[in-house]
Amino acid sequence: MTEAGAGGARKTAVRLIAAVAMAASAAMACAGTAGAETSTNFISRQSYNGTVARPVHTDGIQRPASSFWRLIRSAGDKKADDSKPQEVVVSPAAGKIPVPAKTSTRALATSDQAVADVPQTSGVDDPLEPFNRVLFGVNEAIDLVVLRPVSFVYRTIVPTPMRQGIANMVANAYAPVTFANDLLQGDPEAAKVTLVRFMVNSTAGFAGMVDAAAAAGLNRRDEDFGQTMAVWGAGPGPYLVVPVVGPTTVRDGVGRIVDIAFNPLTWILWYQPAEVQLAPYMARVVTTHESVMDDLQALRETSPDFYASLRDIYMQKREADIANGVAAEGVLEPINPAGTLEPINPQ
Amino acid sequence: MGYDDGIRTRMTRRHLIAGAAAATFMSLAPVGAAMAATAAESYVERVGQGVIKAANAGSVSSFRALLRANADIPTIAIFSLGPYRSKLPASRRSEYYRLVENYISGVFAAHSRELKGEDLKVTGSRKVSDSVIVTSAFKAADGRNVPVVWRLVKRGGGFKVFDVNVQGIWLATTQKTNFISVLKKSNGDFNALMAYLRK
Repeated sequence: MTEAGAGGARKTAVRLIAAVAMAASAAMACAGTAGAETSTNFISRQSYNGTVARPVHTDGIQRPASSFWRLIRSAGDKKADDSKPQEVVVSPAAGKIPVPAKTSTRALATSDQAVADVPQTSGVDDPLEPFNRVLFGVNEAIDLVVLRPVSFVYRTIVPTPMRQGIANMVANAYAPVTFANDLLQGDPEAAKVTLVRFMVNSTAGFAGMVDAAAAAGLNRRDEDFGQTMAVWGAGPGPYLVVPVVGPTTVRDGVGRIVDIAFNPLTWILWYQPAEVQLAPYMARVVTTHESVMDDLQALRETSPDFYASLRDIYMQKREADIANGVAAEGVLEPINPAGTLEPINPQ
Repeated sequence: MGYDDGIRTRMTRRHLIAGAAAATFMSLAPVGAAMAATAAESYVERVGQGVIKAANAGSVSSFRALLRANADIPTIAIFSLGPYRSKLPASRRSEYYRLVENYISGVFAAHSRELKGEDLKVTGSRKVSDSVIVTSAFKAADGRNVPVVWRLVKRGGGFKVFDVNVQGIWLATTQKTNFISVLKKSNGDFNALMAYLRK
């Protein structure tokens, strides 16, 4: 390979890693809702039976390895269970709430005859579930071996106010991507807020360390090209689990790659060494993972099926993000789908 | 006036009366919908205050009382079974409802610290085909405004809560995912689900 060719290949590899890193941080943010917010804490405890809240491991690395292998094994079991896919037509509820585009009628019937006529396992389009579960196991291994130790060290050596400052700085660096997507979504008001926030935080906020704009009532709202495509009418496509990236969909995965091009840092650092080019993306992965680590751990420990819970939360959260949190009812399911049961409220 | 004219006149009069009735009905329909929306909003305001009060008490029993009065537990319980809903034996329904009520009460009680708030302000409502959606802002004890969306169903001339959305996540939908996971792992054995709920 020539020197120029090797350089080109290196550049391509860097871009790929950057795309993966960016997508990973976004997926983590979605799955865990960045910043220890109420909902994910609530949901993750809700997954437990509820009578007693299990203590959350704040170190993030104390989960016994055996549970990891249990997870891998359960993924394997699932694969076996789902080996007999069965298409079943589910009648949409006449006159009911429109079923979201992502809802699938594909069914993955279990091997047991008692539930052989079960119409569907979830409302999420996940035709690659057996394959996704295997990759999910791989990601759990990466999380255990790499991400959690790194996040733990980061949390241990960097004090909370400093971590908040770094998270603010990383978020501020992402503002140009949000700005581009605000415009592409035809929302000039949001673009104006994003631009003003970026200018204020980059100057008065000490290069983004302090979210000074939020104090003035200009709250942050992240947009990405996946959301933009959704606004344009694109459905999410099948649910995917990508190594390192984690939960995503076809639409969101493509969107993340496009966002790399929207990010000025991609071009500013174009001729820099690979480690410099990747630094902003890696910073985003680490800060995001650190902020959602406890929530993910609580969900992992309390959920009867971590894969299904994470998939459900990711899809719901994405719908809410696309709707800018205003119309979170975007994923409403019919309360009593036609033909599934007689009176749903027998009282 | 000939026979045909008489019929035409009667028809015209009938059409007029029918038209007027339809117009009146149509003009009243939005009023009715608005009244229903207002009633739903008032209801959510009351329930929201109840949640804050129960959170301050922090006990499972206070949440259970709140749920019993305001949540449509049978509908939530059956919805949470997803595709397994038709498999629940009729003889086990009441036991299952009781366990679900305890389960949700426990979940809320375990989160009573996070639910302690100052106020809940309703910001709007709208009717969807099988329920009423009420949007609100929950002012948490630390001053943050958390968006909360309520999904209500009409029951007995009033409303009952079917689902609550906190920052984009529907709780009943998430609960459904968990219940289905338990049932799927146990090949649809309801004993496993009951055991999970009793834990």
